[in-house]
Amino acid sequence: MRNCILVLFGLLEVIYFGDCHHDGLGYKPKLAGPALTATAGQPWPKPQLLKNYNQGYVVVRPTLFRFELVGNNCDMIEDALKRYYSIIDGTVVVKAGPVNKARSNSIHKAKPWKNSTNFRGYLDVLNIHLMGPCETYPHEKMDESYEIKIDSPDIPGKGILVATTNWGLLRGLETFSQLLFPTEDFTSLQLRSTLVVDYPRFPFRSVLLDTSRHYLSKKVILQNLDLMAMNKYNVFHWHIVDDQSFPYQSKTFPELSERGAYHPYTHVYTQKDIADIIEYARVRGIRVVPEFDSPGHTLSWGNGQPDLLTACYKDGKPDGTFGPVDPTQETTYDFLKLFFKEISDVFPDKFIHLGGDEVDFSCWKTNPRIAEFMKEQNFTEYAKVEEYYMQQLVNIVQSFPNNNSYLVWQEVIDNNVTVSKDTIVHVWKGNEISYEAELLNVVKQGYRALLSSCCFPGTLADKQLVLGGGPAMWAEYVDSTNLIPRLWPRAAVPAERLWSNANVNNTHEAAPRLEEHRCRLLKRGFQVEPANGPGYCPVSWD
Amino acid sequence: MQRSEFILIVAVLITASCTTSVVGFLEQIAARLPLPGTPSPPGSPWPLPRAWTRNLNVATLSSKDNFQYISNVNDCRELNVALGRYDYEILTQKSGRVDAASGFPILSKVYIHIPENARQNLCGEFPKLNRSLAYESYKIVVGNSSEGVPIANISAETIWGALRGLETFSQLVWRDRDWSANHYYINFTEINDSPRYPHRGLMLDTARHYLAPRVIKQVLDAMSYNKLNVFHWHIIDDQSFPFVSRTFPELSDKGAYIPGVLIYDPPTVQDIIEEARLRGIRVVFEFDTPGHTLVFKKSHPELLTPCYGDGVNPGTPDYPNHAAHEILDPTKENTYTFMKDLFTEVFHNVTKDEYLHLGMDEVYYACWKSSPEIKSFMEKNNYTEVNQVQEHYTKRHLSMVQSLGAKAIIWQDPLDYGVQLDKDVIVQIWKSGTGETSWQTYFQKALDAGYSTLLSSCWYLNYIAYGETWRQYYECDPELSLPKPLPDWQKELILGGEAALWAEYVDATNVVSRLFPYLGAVAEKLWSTANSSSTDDAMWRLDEQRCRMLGRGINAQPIFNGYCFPGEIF
Repeated sequence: MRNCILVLFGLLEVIYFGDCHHDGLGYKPKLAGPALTATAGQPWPKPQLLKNYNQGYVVVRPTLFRFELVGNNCDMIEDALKRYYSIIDGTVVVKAGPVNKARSNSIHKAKPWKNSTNFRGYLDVLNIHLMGPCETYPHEKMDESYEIKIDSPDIPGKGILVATTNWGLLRGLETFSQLLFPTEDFTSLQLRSTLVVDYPRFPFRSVLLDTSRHYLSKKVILQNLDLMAMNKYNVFHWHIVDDQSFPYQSKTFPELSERGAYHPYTHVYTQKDIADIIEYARVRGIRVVPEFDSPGHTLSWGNGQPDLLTACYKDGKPDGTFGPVDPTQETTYDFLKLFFKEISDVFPDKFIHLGGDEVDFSCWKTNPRIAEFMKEQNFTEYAKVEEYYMQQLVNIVQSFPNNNSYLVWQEVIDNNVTVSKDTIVHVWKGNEISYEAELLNVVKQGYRALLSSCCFPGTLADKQLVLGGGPAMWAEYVDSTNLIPRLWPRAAVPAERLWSNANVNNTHEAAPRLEEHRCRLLKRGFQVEPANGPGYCPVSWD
Repeated sequence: MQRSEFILIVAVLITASCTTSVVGFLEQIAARLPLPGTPSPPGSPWPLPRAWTRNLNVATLSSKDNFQYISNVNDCRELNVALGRYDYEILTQKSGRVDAASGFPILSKVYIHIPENARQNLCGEFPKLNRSLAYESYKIVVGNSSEGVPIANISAETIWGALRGLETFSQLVWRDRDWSANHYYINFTEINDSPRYPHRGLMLDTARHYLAPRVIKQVLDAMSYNKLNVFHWHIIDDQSFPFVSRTFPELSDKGAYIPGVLIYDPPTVQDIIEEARLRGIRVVFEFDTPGHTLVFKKSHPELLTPCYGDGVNPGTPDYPNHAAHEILDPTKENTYTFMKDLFTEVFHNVTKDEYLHLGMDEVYYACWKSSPEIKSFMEKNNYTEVNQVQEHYTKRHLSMVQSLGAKAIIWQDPLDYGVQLDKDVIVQIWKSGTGETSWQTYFQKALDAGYSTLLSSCWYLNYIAYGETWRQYYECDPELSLPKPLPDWQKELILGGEAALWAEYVDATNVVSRLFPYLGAVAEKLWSTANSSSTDDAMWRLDEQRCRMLGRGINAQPIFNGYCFPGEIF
């Protein structure tokens, strides 16, 4: 399913198939020790502007440090400050265990960083300044920009984080936490005299999780939201159901998960689970965009909704198998109206992903009712049947009071289905060469586009229409046992392409920062796998 | 829908002999198309036993208090520890409670029989490379006693066979689909089993990334679930030296990633050896020389050949042909004495195995060719080719190790360079190209030359691709994948093989899910009779094995869509 993305993800892990087993990339001159040295205090993704005023630095003592809210109030920010305080506090903790001589010497030495002329004093307060209103739900047009000044000429020795919105403050707090790094004696945290002016390159930066091929526990989904926030992602694209299972527990149609989930009690997302996940995402500035893919990828819907799917025929009789949703029945649309009305109410985001990919016409071709329907409608192509269905679905979704907008996968456009102009088209097919043509095709028709194929467009005429994109984690071979190390830190890479300036594209420059970032995430308690070859983190996973 | 068909088959099988219908443990689901292969019945063992018959009579387990192992030998520590392990795992799958299912006879006694004489049963010893089939063989009978009560008998020639039998026995037990009921069943069964190969291993690399001892022990546990019996410990390499030597503590003081922290000190190493032994697993240490030794530079730079990258100065690089130092210096007597002291410690005070792995792989000549010292060394010894320098080192090193009383395993490289070795050296084949450089060619050459061989080429678990990659491991066979049938004398030279997990991109965060259940595919190739199962059929059992491991707390990753059981991992 959407193999292109899967393969690309797989490729990142294929090391090589040569004749040389120990060195990863064939023969190359070796180093004793790690493959590279991590940076210290370099944020990931890289800010649009990061400037050190001079060689100076201040030192943060976690036991004395505090945030001070100076602008408008915001509950979400107060919670975030607690979260970041504990992250900052954790940054300084050294792994328990035998302390080697070198380290114990340096601990007992009197704070070597204090004697440098570059030491500009302690930073005990970071002022957090919210200039605008406190918004409730993250949205399509949210302002995520922020500014950080540490020991700047106009406020020497002091620190401030300013943003127009709470969303900008969240991004800024993350960056601030990443600017800190342990002093050489591991007693405190160091922070360079720094100016950061930052904002995202693209407004839509998503991670797709597929909870149908394998169920993912709520715990793991929340962990993933934490990691997304630490990489400045802002959309959780939740591919919640598919052919294999239907874990969404519907209020209106409970039988969908009772009969369509892998297990009706343990492998479902209850309304409470979903509310918790949405809330956890919200306070991290992450939108939850659910995908209920149809008319294909819907076999599991049929268990709880028996007349929904097209019966496939063989030798003039139904053969017991089913194809896509049956678009010829009024009952289909009655169901869709009620079902998507519920989805529109449950998920606060304006956008619903309607799928529309990989519709297999072979079953439709066998079904006499479809043939009759095509005759009635004067359709000569099966793509028209799909178009008819998508059009009905789109009309339904647009009719709700929430004034929903929607996303569809690229096939809907490829098959010449006409959809309304505010549709966002999600491009997933193609290799490095062809995805760009596809993207161009989408924006030429005036649609806004998202990209998940692979790499990121450098030269697109109409950039306004490219909203962003993000990695996809299809779950045929992924569940809670391996999701986090499979996805991270690899998903950090597109995060930087989506957030940072287009000219931040040098892998050699990125590698040491990615190394620091991987170790940072590991230290924060996430099972994030190695990215750069042989090496170690100051705190390792055990 | 494959699921319902499968449940139906099992239900029919069971109801044929019982009044209550019960269904399988396995939940393998393919939504669109029926999966290929024949679903295995629940309680199918992995790897597949040599002879396995089961019938439809089913007994149930009733409670922890009403279940016991009775062995004819009471003073065998390995057995007693294993009974503790298997008691817990079989009965609870970490669920904590068992209820007898009504309508089934209860199995409450499992008899274990091994020879009473410690000389025969090998209790208290370390497992060894042993080519006799009997060494790890066992029999299991689950059936009615003469009183008409279900009992199980496990008998073996040695403690190692008994451990394998206990593992299989634990896998015969399966669970009702209604997990809240905590019903456990076992079919009446007869198994007669012994391994295809005596050396069934996994190589872990703890130099590219450190692996915490806890993680290594977890891997050992999961290895025993797959009847693997060799942990090949590639403990040092260019990048780091986590092994703490008592003779040369500076090696890890300067060479570990974090000295004093990311290390294996002597008690830790002995603890790991003991945990392995209790599972019938040998620990074979690899100290790779003369290449892969750059880490020695940190504490003993004099051991390495200085390269002349600029043509004039020693210790200068010539990128990308060679670094400043790469390989041990074979021209200096000190190199040999140092290695003798190190290997003496390793053989006499560290390892408990007869074999040492000497590495010998990937010795690149560019550096040696740049060195005037090597040139004059060659002149002095009348060598015309650089590979004679390698041969010089290889032979001296090998004879030193043999003089300690150790037997040697090496990677294939010296053979490729035409180095002649004693025939009791075991050669491990790892390269895998095409045609003249295919593993089959190398493997055949080693057999033709009369060496005992181990295969690893097709089992590099560190190479990752999308999809059901375990299939390619499963379809690689040390005999059947060769172009021609082997004569019997060559078949006997094949000792087995090892999966390898090079750790450039692996550490404790991903090692377990990366290894399991794929390692099981290699394990079955090495244990079960050749061609005993099609890959499609094996998939069903491997999925059950994966779920079984998950139930035992091993984070084995999925092999296909689906789920294992209600409480799988949350």
